[in-house]
Parts: sequence; C-alpha cells; structure tokens
Amino acid sequence: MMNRSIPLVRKSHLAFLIIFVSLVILAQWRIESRFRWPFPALSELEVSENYAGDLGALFLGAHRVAADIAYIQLLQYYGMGEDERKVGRPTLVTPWGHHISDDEAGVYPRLKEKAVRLLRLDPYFNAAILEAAGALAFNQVRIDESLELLREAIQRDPSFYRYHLYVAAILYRSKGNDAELIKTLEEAMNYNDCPPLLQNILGNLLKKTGRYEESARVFIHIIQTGAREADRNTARQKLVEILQEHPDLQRLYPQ
Amino acid sequence: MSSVFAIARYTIIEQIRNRLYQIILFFGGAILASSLLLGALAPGHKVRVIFDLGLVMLELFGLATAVFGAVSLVTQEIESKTIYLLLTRPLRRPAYILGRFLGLVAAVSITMVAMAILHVLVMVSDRMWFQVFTADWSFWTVYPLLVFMSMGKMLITAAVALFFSLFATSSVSALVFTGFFWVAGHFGPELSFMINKTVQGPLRTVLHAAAAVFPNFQYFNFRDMYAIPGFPGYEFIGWAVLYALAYAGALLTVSMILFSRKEF
Amino acid sequence: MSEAILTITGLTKVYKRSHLGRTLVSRGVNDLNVSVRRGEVFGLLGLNGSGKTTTIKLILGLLFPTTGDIKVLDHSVPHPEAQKKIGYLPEVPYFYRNLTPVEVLHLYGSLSKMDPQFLKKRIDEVLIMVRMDQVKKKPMREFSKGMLQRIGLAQAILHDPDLLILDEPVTGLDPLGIRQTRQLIQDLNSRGKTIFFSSHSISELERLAHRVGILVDGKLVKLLDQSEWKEKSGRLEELFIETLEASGAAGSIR
Repeated sequence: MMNRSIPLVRKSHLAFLIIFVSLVILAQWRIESRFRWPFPALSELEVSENYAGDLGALFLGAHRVAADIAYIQLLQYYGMGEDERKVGRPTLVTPWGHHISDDEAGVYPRLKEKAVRLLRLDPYFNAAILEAAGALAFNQVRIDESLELLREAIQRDPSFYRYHLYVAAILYRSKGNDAELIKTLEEAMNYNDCPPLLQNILGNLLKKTGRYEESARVFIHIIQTGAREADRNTARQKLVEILQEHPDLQRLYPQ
Repeated sequence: MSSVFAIARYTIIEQIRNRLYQIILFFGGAILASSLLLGALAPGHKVRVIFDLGLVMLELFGLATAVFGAVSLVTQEIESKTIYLLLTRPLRRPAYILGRFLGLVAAVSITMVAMAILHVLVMVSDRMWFQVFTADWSFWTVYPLLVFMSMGKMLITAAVALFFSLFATSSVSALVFTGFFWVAGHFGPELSFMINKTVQGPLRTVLHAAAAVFPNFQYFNFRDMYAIPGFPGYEFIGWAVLYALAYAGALLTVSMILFSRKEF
Repeated sequence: MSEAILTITGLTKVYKRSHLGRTLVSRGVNDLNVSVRRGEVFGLLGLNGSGKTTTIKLILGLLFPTTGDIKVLDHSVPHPEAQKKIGYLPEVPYFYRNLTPVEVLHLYGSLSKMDPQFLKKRIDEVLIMVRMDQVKKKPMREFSKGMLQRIGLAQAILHDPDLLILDEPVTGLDPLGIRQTRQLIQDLNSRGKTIFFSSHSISELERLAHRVGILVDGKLVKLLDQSEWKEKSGRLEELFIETLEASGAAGSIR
C-alpha cells in the first residue's frame, strides 16, 4: 500500500538546500584560496610533556591561549633557578661587558626548547619570543640558540622587523658573521615598516664588506623614504662618503 | 513569520528559566573571573592572558549552552508531548523548527553577551588593557567582532546538534555525534594537510570533499588571527559569516525535512 | 445540524515494525468512513487499542494516513485553515513546566493567529470559564492533574474553534471535575460548536453525544443515533457489548 500522505520533500526545501550547499562551497573555496592558514601544522608542534595539553587547546581552536600557557610555563621555568642553578659557577662577563652574577647564571638547558614550543603554538606572540631570544643571547650568552630561535621566528613571521633587529644586534655586537647579518637585513628591507636604523646598519655592513653599489642604494632608499630628517641626513652623509670614494656611482644619485 | 517569532519567544523564556542554563551561566562567570589568577602569572602580558582566556571560556560556555539546549530542543518536547498542542495549531512544521532554533540561538547569544560584559569589566579593571590591541584594530571594534565570530561557531554547532537530535535514538547519542563534529571541525587545516601529503589524484579531491562535510571551525577563530599583521580582517569575516549562515541553513533545511515527515 | 464539518473517507493507518528480522504489520485504523455534522456531539467508543486516539491523531495531522482522506471544512488535513478551526484537548495535556498559564495561552493564541488585543482579553475570559484565573501567573510545574486538565480545556477553546476534538476528556478527573467538564461541553455545543470526542465513559457518551461510533480493531462497526439509547438508561452499554460480541472482540482484555 502506498503511503500517499507522508509529505514528500518539497521543491522549495530542495531548492533552499541546493542554494545553501552552494554557498557553503563558495565560501569555503573563497576562504581556502584567498587565505593562508597562518599557524604551523600539528606535526610541527614541539613534543614535550605538555603535548597532550597543547593538542587539546588546538582542538578547541585556542592557539593564543595555548601560547599564553606556554609562556607562563616558560616564565615559571626560567624563574625556578634554584633547581637548575649550578652552585659555584664563576661570574661571567659577556663580550659587550655585561657582568652576569651567580643569581642570573642559572643553567636552564630547556629554555630554547620551551621558547620554540611557544613559537610554534603562536608565531605571532612576538614580544614573548623576543624576551626568550633576549634571555638566551644577553643573559645566558647562548648566541647560537638565540639565533636559531630568531631564525625560525623570522621564517614564521617575516614581517615582524624587530626579529631582524635583534638578530642584527646580536651578530653585530658579537663580532659575528657579517654575511649572515647582511642576508637577514636585506630580508628585513623587503617590509615597508623596516626602520631606518636597520637599513642604516645594512648600509654600513655592505660598505664594510666592499659592496659599495648596494650600500649606496640602501642609503638612497633611506633618503627617499625616511620619515625623519635625522635619518635622511645620516644617510646623506654616508652616501656622500661612498660617492667620494667611488665617483662612478654618481649615476645612482645624480642630485 | 509571526508563528516563528512566537515560537522563538517562548523558547527564549523557556531556556532562560531552565536550571541547567542558569548553572552554566554561573560557572562560566566564575571561571571567567578566575582568569584573573592566571593573568597574574604572566607579568607584562597579564591583559593578553585574561583577554585570550576569557574569550575561549565565553565561547566554550556558550557552546555548552547551545549544544545541551539544541539536543533537547525538539526531543524533549516530543517526549513530554508538549509538541502535540503546538503542531495541532495552524503552524507549519518548518516554522516550528526555525522558531525553536532562533529562540535557542537568541538565548545563547544573551548568555554570551552577559559573559562578554563581565569579561570586559574584568579587563578594564587593569588600566593597561588597551595595550593588548594592534594598530589595525581598536578594542571596541575587535572585541564585538571576536564575540560575534564565536557566535558563528555556536550557530553551526547548535544546527548540528539539532540535526542529530532528530534522528539519533537518544539525547546522549546526539551529544556524542555533535561532540565528534566539534572536534573534527577544528581539525580542518590538519586534515587538508594530511590529505595533501598522503594522497594524490582524484582520490585527493574525493577526500577533500568528504572532509568538507565537517564544518571548519577554524574560520571562526578570529581571536587567534586578528593580531596577525596584514591578515585581511573584514573580507575574511564576511566569507566566514556567509559560511556559517549557509552551513547552518543547510542543516536547518534538512532538519525541517526530517521533522516534516515525523509522526507523533 | 446540517453540513458535514468533518469527513473521513476510507481512512487506513498501517504500522510496520521490524522485529528480529521480521516485519510486523498492524492496522491502527482500518477503512474508516464517518461524517460529523456541524453542531453535533459525536462520540467515539471502543476498547483500549481500538484506534480512537489514532483516529484523532490522524485528524489532527500528528499521524499520516496510509490511505484515505480527511477533510475539515473542505480542507484536506493538515491544512492551516482547517487547524484554525480545530481545538484539541489531549488525554493528558502536557505543558511547559516553567511557563505560566498566561504565557502558554499567549503562545497558543499567537500560533492560532489571534489578534493580539483580542487575545489578551480572551485569555482572561477562558481562564475565568475554566476557573483558573486565580493562578494564572503561577508556573505550571506547581499544578495538579485537574488543574492541568482545565488549562488544557482553556487552550482548546481559546481561539473559539468550530470543531472541538477531545481525547478522553474526563479521564482522571474527580466527580466534580467530570461534571464541570460535561457542563462546559454542553455549553459549547449549545453555542453551535461541534464536539468530536473519544471516551471509555459510556455514561458521559450517553449524556452528551448525539451519535456514537463504535470502533473495533480500527474499524467503525456500528454507528448509533441518540434515539437508540435515550429512552433507557444503560442502553448504550448494552448496544456496545452486543456490538463487541457480534464482532468477536468482547472476550479480549487489553
């Protein structure tokens, strides 16, 4: 016996369903094609005793909260020097003359690991990452670890120029690797908000390493785009020095 | 439409007077206030911690209210037979579903707004609260947007819960299915990543299509993305809102079809 | 009494249930044909499980017929125009525990597309009629069964329907409640309302109904007119038993 009276699916319902599904597909396609997912994949998370908690937070869509908790845990770790401090460690003096006393010279072997964990949870928690990099470089005198951290931070958030600034500062100050420093600063210059200070450091380094044309281009860029008169004047001075030594480069700046 | 509003109105009243709803609201408020303690552990970033944690709590409690409400929205009426006196009125069944859903969404939105007000008061109690925000957004622009995006997630989840409640054998099983969709919905980018890494050819398209059945809740985690420099805010929000409305609309339409064929 | 307000033609409802791999088929209603005239009180009488509630649910659109047709005021059920004219009282009315009578009646009145101004007045009127005006702002969870039954009646007559469908309206009521319900039904009928009600209570059917249909296993086996039992008290019960015996259903206890 056919059941005549159970309502068949109405045409209007079917039409609405098709429209809604189409809109879902359209919106999803638009978002997926237009926007890049800004966070690292789950597979890149630091595997630690907090892994389950981190995963749980990410499943709730809480990257920033996961990073906040990682930051708090990092602070707690870095503040718990008593368990990790080596008693009797001699006072350190950094290359730039900073005296580190026993109280600051805790070991903290997992400091970088915890900072990387934070970075991979929220690569845009810039202030916290800078704090960690600063602690590693300036307090712990662990230049390599600090640079590794900052390099990964730059890779994940290239637009945050202060990472480049910190790298520049660390390398410049530690009489380090000029080639690496130049590469980093050139990268930083791709961003509109790269400060003249950073550009100035790059210009100086290029000059120091004999790359006069590139150095001149950097100072010309500062003259043309620098917002402050002082920055432009400094760049003009540097450019004049270069052009005096290399008149063939006058073509770059006819004025 | 007047029937839809009549149903929505009594749903709001019914939800707000529900003891479970009041308990969830109370606990949500308590935990929100306790986020102050966690903030104190992060000197220099206290307001960020309170801000982030508060938004997540607000969302979770809003979702709990929505899911528990949606799962029992229709089933409870059927079990208690209060639905008889509704469906014997000149009320189209789709209008009933729509009215119940809108009423629930409104009731839950009230919860979230109440908790948001509490959250703002907690943050404003710290004089440095404005430092949380980037140059791109002001607090009074971004905060309502973030709460609004959480509501988008709540809208979809409530529609999922309602849909499951109409053919699951019990409220518990509907809750379980909804929970599964909730977790899977946050897995979206990872699922895409894994499919792209492991599968090639037409099968990849098929798997992407299958994965697309699950709602992608990461679109609504704007609270994680608003501070990312250069992230296109309003365009992204626009598409995400369209996604939420269309996804919920599709599920509601199917729910209406299912409900229209139900016998009592 | 003239035109038919409710017409049921060839109505059948088949239930199919799967059990341990077998499909069990049962008929809730079997080829029912009945017509209820405007202004009459029509009673549906039958044993438990005879199909009374199923018939009512089919009329109201809560169940869908397998075959057959139901028309209320020339509209095939369910139809909003028909539903506007129907008032329904279930056997046990269930309401929202956290709402008050005023709120519940306001909801039902809105759904019946009543004018808001008129609705407010009408709510007060019906609550007085059912003697529930003193507790109109109390939540329903505090009400007794009898009180809920009265609110049930209130919502059934709120929108002044032409056809009242009452499913076992006196079940569970005390003698005073039964009397009050009976008086209300008589009063409504005297005002031209058509009453269609099912009942186990033969005495109530005797007192109220103009016609009684006897259902056995979902089939209308006998249609009795008031004249057949009016002269002798208890005659309707005799006719009912005779009908059951004739159809072989008298021995079954459900």
